[in-house]
Amino acid sequence: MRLKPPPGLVGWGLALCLFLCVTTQVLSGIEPAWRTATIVLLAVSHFTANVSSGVLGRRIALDHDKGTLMRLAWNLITLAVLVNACRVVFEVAFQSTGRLDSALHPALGLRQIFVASSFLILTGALGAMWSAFTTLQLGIRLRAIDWALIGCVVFLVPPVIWNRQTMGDSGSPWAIVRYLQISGPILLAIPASMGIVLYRVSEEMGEGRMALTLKCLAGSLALRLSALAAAAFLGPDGNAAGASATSLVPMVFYITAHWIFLLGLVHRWRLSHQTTDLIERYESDQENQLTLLAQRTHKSAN
Amino acid sequence: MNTEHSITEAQWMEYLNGTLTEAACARIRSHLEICEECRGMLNQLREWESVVIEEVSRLKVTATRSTGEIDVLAEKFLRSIRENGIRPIQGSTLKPVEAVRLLRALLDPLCGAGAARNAVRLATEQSCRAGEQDVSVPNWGLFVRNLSKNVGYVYGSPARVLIERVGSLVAAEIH
Repeated sequence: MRLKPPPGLVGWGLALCLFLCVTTQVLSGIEPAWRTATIVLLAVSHFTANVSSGVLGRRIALDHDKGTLMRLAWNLITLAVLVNACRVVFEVAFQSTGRLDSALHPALGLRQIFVASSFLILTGALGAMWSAFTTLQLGIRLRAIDWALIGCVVFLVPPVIWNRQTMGDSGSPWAIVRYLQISGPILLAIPASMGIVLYRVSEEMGEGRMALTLKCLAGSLALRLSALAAAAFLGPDGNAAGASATSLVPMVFYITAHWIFLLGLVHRWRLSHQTTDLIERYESDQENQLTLLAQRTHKSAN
Repeated sequence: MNTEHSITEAQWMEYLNGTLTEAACARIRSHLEICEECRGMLNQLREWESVVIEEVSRLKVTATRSTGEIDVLAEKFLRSIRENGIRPIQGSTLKPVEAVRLLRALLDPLCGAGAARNAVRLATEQSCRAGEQDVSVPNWGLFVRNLSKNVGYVYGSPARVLIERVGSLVAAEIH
């Protein structure tokens, strides 16, 4: 089956997930039972976006020859999003039985292993991708604005860590969980900084679907970092019910980040389709095209 | 063409694109002040360039809207160049530098102008011997292989195959 998802479908998916999650979150302030619906919808949204990204990422990786940096990059992206999907399943297994607080249920905090792993794998993927682009002399020189943005990302990390008591697993009795959570902002800052570099690559590249892909990846990482910062600075309890900024802002950022990431992969996959269609035309009509070329050559000689 | 004036075809094209080094630009400007032949040739190149840009813009618009139309417009692009009768060199068909422009026009909507320019420049450097600056008929095949490899490394096998296909078709018309 030839998979050819339109970008518009991703937009509709994002809009639907945002609408449902925000609505149930607001309703949970009136009737707490709606909180369960929010948790389920969030899980479905994240799982769908990540698994879809994984499927596309693997197909994109197969587009590249074995042993190339780009194939490695897309395989690592596939692995990172599938680790995210596993994290969702892990969390749902606990949350479906009412175990929402890792301070009371320490094993829930082990989700930080998935978080840290995903960030590390994503860092490797973006590094490989950047290295591949440098072969075309793209992304070699950063501008002052790029360094300034990277500096902003780096300087955001200490205040987020300082406010670590607002993070979900800060109360875990297991030290490994607390240390992994503290490392989360650092591990996210690195791929977020690389997202800035890839955005520079997209600007140097010009137009095209690959440039759109890179912009989506950079935007997704910026949103994830913003979500983390919002969760750290806005309030103590990400599990709070109701329509407060504490609960809504990080949730909207997280949902949008995952779907924007998927949108980037859709654009890259459609680039492959676009190119393959062109090849099929040349292969199916080659004789006719060669005849046209011969006629033009004869005309210009006369 | 202007090798007797020590300015290559590729340098003229880069001068028009504004991508030539400042030192080389200054040398060309000095030469233009004293050489009427080159001034006339440059005006001809500018007319040719405006036709190329117009056709490339049509290619880009189509590429962002739908798939599979770029090859049709690439043929129209080549026909338009001939029908306008604007040639950098009289009495020739498709020169290698023009064939390179055609491949760049094919790559621009797929890869982006910046990536396409860098890929072509890199392939040119990889394909030309020491002392050569332009792609020529003997090394056209090597140029296409290097370009397809460079593009395919970043954009995948379909892009590599596309460049190989179109490059081999264009090779039939290069003289």
